[in-house]
Amino acid sequence: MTRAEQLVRDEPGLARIIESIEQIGSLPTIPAAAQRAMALARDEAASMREIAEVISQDQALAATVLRVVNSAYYGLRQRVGTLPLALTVLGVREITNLVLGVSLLSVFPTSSDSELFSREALWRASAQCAYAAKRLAHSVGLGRLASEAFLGGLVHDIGLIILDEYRHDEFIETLRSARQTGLDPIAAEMDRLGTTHASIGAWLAETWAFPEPLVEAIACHHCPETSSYEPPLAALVYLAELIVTFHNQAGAAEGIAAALDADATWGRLLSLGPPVQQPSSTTAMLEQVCDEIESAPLILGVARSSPR
Amino acid sequence: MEKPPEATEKHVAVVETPGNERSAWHAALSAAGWAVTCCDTADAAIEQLERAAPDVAVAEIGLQPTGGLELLKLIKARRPRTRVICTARDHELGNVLECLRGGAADYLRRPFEPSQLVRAVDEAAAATPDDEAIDIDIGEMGWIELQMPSSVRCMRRLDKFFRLLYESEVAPDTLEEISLCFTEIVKNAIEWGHRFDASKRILLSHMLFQDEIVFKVKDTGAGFDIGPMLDGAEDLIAMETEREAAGKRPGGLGITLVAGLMDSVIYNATGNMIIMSKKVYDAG
Repeated sequence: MTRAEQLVRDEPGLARIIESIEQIGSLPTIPAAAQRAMALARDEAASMREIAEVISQDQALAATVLRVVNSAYYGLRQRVGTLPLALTVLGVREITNLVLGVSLLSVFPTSSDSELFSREALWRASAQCAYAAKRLAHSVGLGRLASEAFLGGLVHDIGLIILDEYRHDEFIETLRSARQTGLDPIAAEMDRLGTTHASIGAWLAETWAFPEPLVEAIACHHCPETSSYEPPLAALVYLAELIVTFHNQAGAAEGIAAALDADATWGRLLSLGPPVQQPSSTTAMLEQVCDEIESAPLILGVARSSPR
Repeated sequence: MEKPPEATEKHVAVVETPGNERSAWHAALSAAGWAVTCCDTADAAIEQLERAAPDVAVAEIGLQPTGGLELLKLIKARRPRTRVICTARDHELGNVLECLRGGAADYLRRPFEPSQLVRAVDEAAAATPDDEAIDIDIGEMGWIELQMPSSVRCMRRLDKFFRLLYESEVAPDTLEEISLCFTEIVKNAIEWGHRFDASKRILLSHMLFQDEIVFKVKDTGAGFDIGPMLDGAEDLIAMETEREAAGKRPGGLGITLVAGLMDSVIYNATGNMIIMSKKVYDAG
């Protein structure tokens, strides 16, 4: 039984939502560029030249790559004017991340925001989470998971977009009642919808043939302790989201370090033993993570502003 | 049958089917002071490897039944300090890439003069494990990303492989210019970015896409102010002398040369990363 099948069995609301989406028959397909980029991120037999071809044939994507390379983040002294130059500056990892980010962002265009939910803000936080998760993976000795952690950070909340797109009124009501009652949003979703955005996201990820650990990470990003997966991708995404939330509220690395040290998932992650290793200073590590968080909207934000 | 090499002698194993060529190589290498062992097949060489590790092994890629590339892998796994030179009767770019990936010290296209082999064997033997420690992240035709030690010898080896990869696609003069710029910039990173500290890694990316060949070289040094050099200093020699006297990173001459030969040269603000590119197909 796949993860999504399990979820459908356990959460009656999920089956209802899937059914209604399928009836509308308008579930977007995953863009080809994202599919290729994902294969690359997972180190499957994909050729880098192929991804370069994909980019060069997609004018909007090529323009985005150039815009990103010429943004302040890369701090170049002269303008980069050609695609080969830009691709070389970025390097394979950044290109992969960028293509994934941009093409997934383009699947669900921004809609008019409600006071309670903004897709723009969600994508911004997701981009921050992606870069935070990638940096965190490196910092705790799980560098080989960095690409998957990036992806996990980027798409972990995609279920929220699905809810906004296909169950807009119900979704906004759920958010409103959570705010009014002070209930945890996840609990409020379960209460009203009979499922959660995590489960819906996991179902979509499975439909899009995302790799299994990623499906699991999306399903468990609010309850990483229930994930049976080693290596602990769900924990990385959960922690990245925690850091991003604190960063966006308060900011200082010391404050976030205290929150992290009090967090059970962080404790469990560090107790796993090699290759997981405790960073020599949590505050110093968080400063690096926060640097990445700040650069994230810069990269994907520049990308987002591309006319598509 | 050769006598087994003495422990103090430099030892080269030649894996090659018997014939005139092998005899000529044997003679030239012996004359150059090498203790030479010949093996007819890769399997014979592997057996010998169990007893002793030669300093250098020369292996023909097209050997049957086990080929030189397979032997390269086996040698690197069993005797990582042995340098391997691959020879190729049938030159294929894929094999050049495989040799680079597999850690071959050199790749020689046949036919070649025995003296060329002696030179390659001498050079390979002079390399330290540091010189060879290249980590290849991406290694495919037209797209290479790797980390190399700050070693001039390693740079020369890479330069040689790049030339082999592109000699059929890029006009000889252009290739010569690109090679000159590549070595100039990497030398700069080795000397001034890393002060010859071989343990410090240089990030090297390279791409040939559409009609443009691009190199990116990044060191971990503090970088330097490239502005005055690219903005056309009036007296470069004076500037160089002045910078050197002040204990600063020179390189003005080299960079001006590179800026002249390449189509674009771009630095980051820190001055520890350079990207340079050149169009390679403008002749048609």
